[in-house]
Amino acid sequence: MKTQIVPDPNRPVPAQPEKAVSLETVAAPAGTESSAPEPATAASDPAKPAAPAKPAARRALAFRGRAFKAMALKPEPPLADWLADLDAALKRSPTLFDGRAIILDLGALRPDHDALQALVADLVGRRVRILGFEGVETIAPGLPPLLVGGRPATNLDLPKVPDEPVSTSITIEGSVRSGQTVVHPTGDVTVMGSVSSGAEILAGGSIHIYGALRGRAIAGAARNPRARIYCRKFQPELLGIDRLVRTAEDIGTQLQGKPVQIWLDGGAIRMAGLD
Amino acid sequence: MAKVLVVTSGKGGVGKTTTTAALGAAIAQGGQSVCVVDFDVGLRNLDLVMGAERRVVYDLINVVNGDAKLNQAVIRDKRLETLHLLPASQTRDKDALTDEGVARVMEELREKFDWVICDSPAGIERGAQLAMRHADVAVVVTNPEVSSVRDSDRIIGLLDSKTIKAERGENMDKHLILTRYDPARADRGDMLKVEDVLEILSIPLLAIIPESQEVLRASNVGCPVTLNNPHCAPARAYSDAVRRLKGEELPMTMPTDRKSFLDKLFLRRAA
Repeated sequence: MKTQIVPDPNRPVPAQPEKAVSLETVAAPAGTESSAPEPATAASDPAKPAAPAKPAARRALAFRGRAFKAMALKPEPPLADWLADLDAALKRSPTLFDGRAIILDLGALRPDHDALQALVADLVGRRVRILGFEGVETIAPGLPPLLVGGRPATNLDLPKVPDEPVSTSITIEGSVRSGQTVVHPTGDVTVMGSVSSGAEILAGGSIHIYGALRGRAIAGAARNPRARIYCRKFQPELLGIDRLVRTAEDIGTQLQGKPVQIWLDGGAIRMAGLD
Repeated sequence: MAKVLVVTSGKGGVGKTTTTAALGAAIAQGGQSVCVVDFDVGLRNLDLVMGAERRVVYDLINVVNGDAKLNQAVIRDKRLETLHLLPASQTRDKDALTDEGVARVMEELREKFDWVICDSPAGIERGAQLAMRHADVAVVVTNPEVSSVRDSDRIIGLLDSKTIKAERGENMDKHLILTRYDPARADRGDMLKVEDVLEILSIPLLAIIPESQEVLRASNVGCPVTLNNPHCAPARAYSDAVRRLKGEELPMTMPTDRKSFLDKLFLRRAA
């Protein structure tokens, strides 16, 4: 299409505004320009024989309409609160406005010229690209154009950043000292240090102890018979899995000091070395 | 900047007061100014061990309540002019200590002295928690037996949760002093060994104080063991502890009162 309107240098071009040549790329807002010339008249000028080069290719410059779905934002007073809500939405989905053309509906806000300039600057600062305005009667020159005849469309589905997965296990970096209790009914407990005599761990899931277990460990407190207890050095005062409990007296000495795992097998607490 | 050190243990009778006096005197001998503070309100002993029991006029409670000024209550040691004592009250109990009052006194002590050593009462209640609350460094005193070790473990947990330093999220500097240690009995299995205690408590060892008659002798004459007989085994162990506290790297030795032939000859002649 572009090639059609490049004027032949040998041919006198009828007087017309220079910018009319570049008009053809603008589709939707073209209707607002009233002085669009008819370039086809140049080709059919009877005073001059038509240039023999491309007579058949020369067609009327077409002004085609095209409808796109644009995203409309309607700022509401008080503006500061509305901007705060916008920031919150941007925080949830940072790419919300990337690559989108935005129509700004000023029907609720009805700002004066300075306020509109400030609002546009605020939005540009948030990487919002404004295609046009609606909802007011006039727009000062130098700003994007006023659009009329917009029809409401269905709400856009905004991309959502998935929430952080809920962690169901906790890790204790050091040791759990005598008298301290760690209660975590919703998942596993990992202790990097030791669990001292007189300390207690109560977990909904399994218990992992990378030091010595000298205190009490109760796993599967959320009625989970598949929970287990693992420790690097086995000297417990009490073990429990899913409401079954065994005290040190009933544990025996053959596993003392060894790496051990404890699990539930058909309603009985079982223990075995890990090596 | 002054350093506040708390001597604590959980269990009673393991040597907190002896250790407080011995460390205080050993630091003061090095020339730095020290104030030892007795937090054992109602059961005060530090004044006796320091030999200052007949000079007590005002005490910690008076200062906390604002009845007396700090320098009215602080007693300067007669043997070492850099060593000072802030005694506890014998007639009151630990409820007489207020959080704000203790904080104010500790702040004032920090300004006046290079070291403030707090002698904690036994137990884990209010008195012990107030004594450790403002500390920068903790010395945990433990005997080589299971009940003392478990109580120390409990106290370490409190040091890591109830002190200002811990509440700020900082790491509390904790050291272990193992008192009344007898290598022969530990070898026979009558006592926990050093390694066993360290394995359970897992904090750095500052000193091993051997079981010695010198400790009781010094207490009874009202003199810190490091001052009474600086060359005896427990005094040397405490002096090493102070050097380690100040950052020196020393090999851990088991100080003993060696009874070589020459020593015996020398001691007999001196006696």
